[in-house]
Parts: sequence; structure tokens; C-alpha cells
Amino acid sequence: MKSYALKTGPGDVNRALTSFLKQLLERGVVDAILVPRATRSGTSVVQALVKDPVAMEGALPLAPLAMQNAARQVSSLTVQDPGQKLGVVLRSCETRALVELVKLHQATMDNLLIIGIDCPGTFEPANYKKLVETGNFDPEQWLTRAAMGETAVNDTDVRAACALCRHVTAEHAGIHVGYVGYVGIDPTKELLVQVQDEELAGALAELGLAEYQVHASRDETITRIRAAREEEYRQQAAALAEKTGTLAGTTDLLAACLRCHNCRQACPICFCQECVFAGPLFKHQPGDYLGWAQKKGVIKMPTDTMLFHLTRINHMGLSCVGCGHCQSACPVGIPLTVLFRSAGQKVQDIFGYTPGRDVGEELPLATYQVSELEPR
Amino acid sequence: MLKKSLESFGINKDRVWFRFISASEGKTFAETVNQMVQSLKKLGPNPTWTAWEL
Repeated sequence: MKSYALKTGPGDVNRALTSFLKQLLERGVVDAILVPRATRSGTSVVQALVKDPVAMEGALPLAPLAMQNAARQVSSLTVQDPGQKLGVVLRSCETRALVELVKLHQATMDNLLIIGIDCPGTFEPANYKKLVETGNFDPEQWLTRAAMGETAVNDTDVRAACALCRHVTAEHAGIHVGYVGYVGIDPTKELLVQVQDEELAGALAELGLAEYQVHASRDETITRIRAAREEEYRQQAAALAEKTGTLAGTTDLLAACLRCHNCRQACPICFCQECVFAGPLFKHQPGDYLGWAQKKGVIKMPTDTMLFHLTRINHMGLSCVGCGHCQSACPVGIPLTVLFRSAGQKVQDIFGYTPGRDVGEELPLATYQVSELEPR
Repeated sequence: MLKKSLESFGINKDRVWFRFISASEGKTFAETVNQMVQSLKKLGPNPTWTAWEL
């Protein structure tokens, strides 16, 4: 792996990275790039597919906002061979979800250059909007502080899932852009660009990037951030497990569920074109509802909310990467991140499987070990 | 996997039984069903029958 320094300047971090991406397009390293871009109002950042290098202006690759897991967009672009080389700017939860989607035959990596970025976390879309609107958000200042693991602005911190995330760098990246953990050097001076492939390294050298010795403080800071978040996750998972240990506790947790299916819509793993819960199976006859109400005295409407979540964990639990977009999409604030991440972990543990780890590793349900056939 | 997920949701995993019984093992089948019925009677009515918010 080769490391380079990409020179930036105050007020120029995103622009420096953007012109680097623009050069990748101009030089034909990739034919198109999927990158986060600010909406005209500036209060949101959405995924944008850029073909024209000039249109790369306005991209905000390091903005701490992910409105959805971009693996969904990569799936849309690669489920069939696009016939072009595609660059995609992704953070860890997105590359890991993408690996799972490749295994589920919903995406391919054949013509893909993953441009991974460090991610200390992203804000809830509504919070990001408020921070920008009230003028409380300075993107450069945030990057400098987030580089040391301080992500909160005033009282507003990153999404619940991000505050519990054990990943900072993006896995499986052909090119990786980092800024976390610098001591003495801050992202307003330079970004770290790392490349796996020799051929790509040659292309980058042509762009005039200087080789760079990575300071040990980077790894130390990343390890520190990860350990603190892992500990926070352990505590929250333990607290939740006390509630979900009984049916009554889980019922309380899910009682406000409207079965709007937003969590399924936001989930990068839930790819089914026709979800069983959108089909006729759960469109009951009016008489059925009245019959159940007769039997129990009272029933919640809509029905089947617990069954919906139980079905979802059975369908996507093995591949859950813990991105927490389910929780961000929930209109009633159910703590789905910890519920699904911990329930997913339990089924993953049966097979010693870590979703997103290795694209060559088979999905546990698509293969078998001889030992599994022994009676037990 | 299902039993782990049921546990995660606070549902007693012993309400679900998985057994492999060949079509020729009629006696084993009958015995297993009897065991399951006894076990379920011991567990009592399923609490989901009275919870209204599910």
C-alpha cells in the first residue's frame, strides 16, 4: 500500500478532494463518480452521479451526512454491468453493506473503484439541516475536531448508530482518503490518500501527489475511538437485552411501531422487490381483525408489528452491518440500531460470520459445513 | 437461527421444536408429538394470546 499527501488549505478540504476526484474523471481512471453533493439550499447532502468533470464542483465528499446507505445506489448502478468504470465514494458501513449486496447478487464490484473515506460519524438529516440553517456548523472546524473523535456540535452529536460504530476507515477501498488521527497536521492542511494497487499508484503519482509517511498517531487515535464506541455499544446492548429478555419488554419497545416499513426501505440489505409484508399475506379480511379483537378484547392496529420485525431480523440479520439507517428512518424513535445489531450478532455468531468482511466469504445460508450435518 | 432471534425478542424458544423424523418412523413421530404437547402444556398458554400491542 502506498500513501500520499493531498494538499488542502483552510476552507478548502472538500474542494481539494473534489478536484482530486475531478482529475480521476478527466484522466479516465474512472468514467463516472458517485459522490455526495450538497443540494442547492446547502441544508442537505445527497448522492450524485457525476459524468461531466466540471459538474464535480459542489461535491461534498466529506460532509458528515448520509441520507441513506449509498450501497443501495451502487446496487442500482451495478446490478447489471454498467459497461463503464465507476468510482464510488463510500464510508465503512456502505462498503460493508455493498459486500453483502454483492453476495446477494444485487451488485457487482467488477468495474468498480471504491474511494473509501474516513468516517467519524454522520448527523441525522434533520439535525444537519438545523445546524446549517442556524449557522452553527463550520465543516472545516468539524473535520479538525472529528479527526480526534470529537463529533458533537454544541449538544448535537452524530447518529446513534455512528456513536456506537466500531469502524472509522472504509474497508475494501481501492483508494482511501483519511484524516482521522493526525497530530500536528490537520485536515485543513492535507489529507491522506492511500492506494492498494500499483497501477493506480502510478496514476496518482502522475497527479503530482507526494509520497507520505503515515504517523503512528493515526492508528492510535482510530484504535482509541473504536474502543470507546465499542464499550458504549456493549453498555447499550446490555441495557437493551434486559428489556428484550421478556416478551413484555420487547412489546413495550415496539409498541409504537406503525408498520410504516421505513426501516425496511432504509435498510441496505432489504433488497426484495416484493417484501412479504407488502404482499397479500398480511392484507387480512376485515372479519379477521374483528375476530382477533373478539378473542383478545382489544388489538393494536395495524397488526403484526412484532411479527414484522421478527421476520426482518430473520431475513437480514446475518448481513446486518449496523449502519442504523433503520433507526434514522423510524418516525416513532424505536431504538432499532442496537436491537438489530445485537440480534444480528447472535445469528452471525452461530456461523462465526462477519458481514462485510470479505466478498469471497460465502453467505452462511448459501453453503454448509459437513459438521453441520451431524445430529445434535 | 430462528431460536436465537426468538430469544432476542423475548419469546420462549422452547415453543418451537425442530426434529428430523423419517416417513417410516411412525412411532417416533407419535412419541415426539406427545412430548411436544406435554412440554407446551407445562409452559402454559402463549403470552402473545393476551398481549394486545403486538
